[in-house]
Amino acid sequence: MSEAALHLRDLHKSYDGRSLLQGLELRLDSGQRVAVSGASGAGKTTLLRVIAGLEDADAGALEIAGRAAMQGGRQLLPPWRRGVQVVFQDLGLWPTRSVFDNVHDALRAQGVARTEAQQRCQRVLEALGLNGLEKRKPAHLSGGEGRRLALARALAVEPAVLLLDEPFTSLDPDSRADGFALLDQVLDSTRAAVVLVTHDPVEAGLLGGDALQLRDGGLHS
Amino acid sequence: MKHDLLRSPRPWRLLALLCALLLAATPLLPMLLSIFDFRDGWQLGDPRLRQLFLRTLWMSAASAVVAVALGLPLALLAQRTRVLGAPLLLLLMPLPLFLPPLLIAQAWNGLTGMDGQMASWLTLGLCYAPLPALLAARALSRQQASAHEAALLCGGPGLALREMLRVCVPAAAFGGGLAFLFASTDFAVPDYFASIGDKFAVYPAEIFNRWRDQDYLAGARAAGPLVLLGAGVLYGSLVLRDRWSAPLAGSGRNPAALPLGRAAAPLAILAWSLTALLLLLPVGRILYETGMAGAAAEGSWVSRSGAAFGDALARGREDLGRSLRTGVLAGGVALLLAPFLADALARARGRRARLMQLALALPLLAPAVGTGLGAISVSNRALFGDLYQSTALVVMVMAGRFLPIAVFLLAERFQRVPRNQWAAAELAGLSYPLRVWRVLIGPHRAAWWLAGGLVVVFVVRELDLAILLPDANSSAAVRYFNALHFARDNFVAAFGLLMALILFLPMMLYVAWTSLRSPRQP
Repeated sequence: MSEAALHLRDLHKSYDGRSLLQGLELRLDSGQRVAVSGASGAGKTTLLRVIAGLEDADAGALEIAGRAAMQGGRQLLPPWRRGVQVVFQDLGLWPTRSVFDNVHDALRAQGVARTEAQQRCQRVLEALGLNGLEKRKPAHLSGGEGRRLALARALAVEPAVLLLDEPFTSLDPDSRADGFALLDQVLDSTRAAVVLVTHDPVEAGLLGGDALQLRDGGLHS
Repeated sequence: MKHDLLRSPRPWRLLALLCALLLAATPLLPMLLSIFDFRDGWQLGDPRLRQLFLRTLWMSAASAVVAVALGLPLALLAQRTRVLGAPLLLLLMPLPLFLPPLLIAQAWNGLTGMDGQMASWLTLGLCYAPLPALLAARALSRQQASAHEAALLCGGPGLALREMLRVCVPAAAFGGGLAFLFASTDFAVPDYFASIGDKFAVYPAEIFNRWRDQDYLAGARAAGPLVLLGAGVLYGSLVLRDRWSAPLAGSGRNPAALPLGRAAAPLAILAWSLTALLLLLPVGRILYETGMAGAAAEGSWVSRSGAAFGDALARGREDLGRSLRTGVLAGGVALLLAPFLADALARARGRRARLMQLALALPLLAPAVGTGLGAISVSNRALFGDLYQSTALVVMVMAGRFLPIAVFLLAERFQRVPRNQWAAAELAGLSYPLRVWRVLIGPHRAAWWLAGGLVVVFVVRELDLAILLPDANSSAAVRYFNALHFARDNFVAAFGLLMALILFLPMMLYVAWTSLRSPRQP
């Protein structure tokens, strides 16, 4: 069996005595996509946050690109060493930085040389239709442009795993369809394993990969 | 018509504005008019005055640098890390601001023996360091949680820290601007350090000397350049703050603490050292002085300290009572007026908001000695009868000066109230005062009381004004000032600490109230 991009085993997580995730298993190869849908409060965002290392689990093991990131619920790799990127529901853009700098800062922080960072930055902004907006601040972007910028920043650093937390939920149906079409296009050129969580089963179907349901603390086809 | 008057915000805001103008702007008039008086080459035509003004500028700038250098790291460590005792550090952070600057000056002189110019700007920097610290901490608490997490994922703690600095540096710089303004208008601290060591003078002393010469109007007019400086620096700071900061609405989650790794222990030491510099060492020193040899120098330190506190209570009770009474009356005025002005301020945007902030803040930023002389020159006329000698004048001037504190605090809270709640109350036909009471003050009742409490605190600790206004001469601050200049004994220390305890009280009550009432976050 080839090395998995993401391998999550027997994950348990509870909040205030309520068990959210119970023995959850998930395995994704490079380039594989999965959409996880579920009701509000089912634990979708918690699942992403545990994978990213932004939240501790009660128990379980996680491997990312062959490296142990979590064992027995204990973090072995901090979030910034996991090769995971997240597109947050509220995007998490850096408000004082321009569109260009939002991507450039991320690349420079990964140790990419200045010239190469600038070139990669231009490439990814162009791929996501953000060229011409480089100098704008996030507050001056439309909803769709902000989402594309968050995606550009996440993809620019070439993560092993890309996590999308309801990235197009607040957009109108047409913009959402456009967003997924663009997402499909840019994901084709990466090797990142992708996990998308959404409460909307229709949206889950738009990603173009496996569709799973988070129910009773586990993932079901 | 009657219903329109009750429902429309305009008449109420106008009434509040007129009251505020009467209280706050009247004493400022002689200062404001002098700005446009170009006879004799304006106020700074005299080379001696120019030199005093320049010295005040650089000393205040040095105080501001000290305030930011100490306040910014403290805010970062207390607000966004899990250093040992971080919640307690946050709780202690505003307290130095409530202490009379003269008390901190006394403590640092006792601790280090320093005097002269350096002691003055250093002490004022320590006094006002909570301003950049509090503003930076507030900015950090509002950082979008996901923006912080995105920085952690992309570049680890280094990038996350850079992002945090981008969020809080504009706020800290604004706090530094305020520290500069308060330091530039302080008279008592430079006067104290000049009286016990190397002689020097600052510009507010020049204003004060006109009072000694009984030339009140000239004194108020001499304060004009400081008012102009204050207005310019404040407006510039507001522009820079608005330009640098670009807030984005978040999900409401609190941003996570920055992981410190092995640096946790040394950073905890740094955070507590900063708090010691700002609060624990000065208060500790004053406490120590309560048991030093003095008038009642017998027995152990504990018995001497106990005797000093008993003495302070016996001799100072009436003055403390008078200060508190004045403070409570001024606080009451602020509680009534501030909500209407705060509502107007909370709705303003851009340049209009900055101009409103500037106009509202002016009474607080004008030198207190200038305000006092302005109040005397306006009220000490046959037309106003006994007003000049009365408690009413003190309450009016103090309420006018410290009203901006209540207005700014409430405006910040009112901005958080969802506009649809206001619209729903409007549609339900509630009168404007009822809407303010139920929709705006309702969810922020503790902050409303705190706003009044802060006015009480600042009235009680105000010294420069109290020296000048006849009815305020028998106040706690003036008794402390006179006692300190007359003899530095254990009575002075005990009396200063008693004042400090009273000044800390409103903040403690606020913290107790909010922690009892706020639901626990998961």
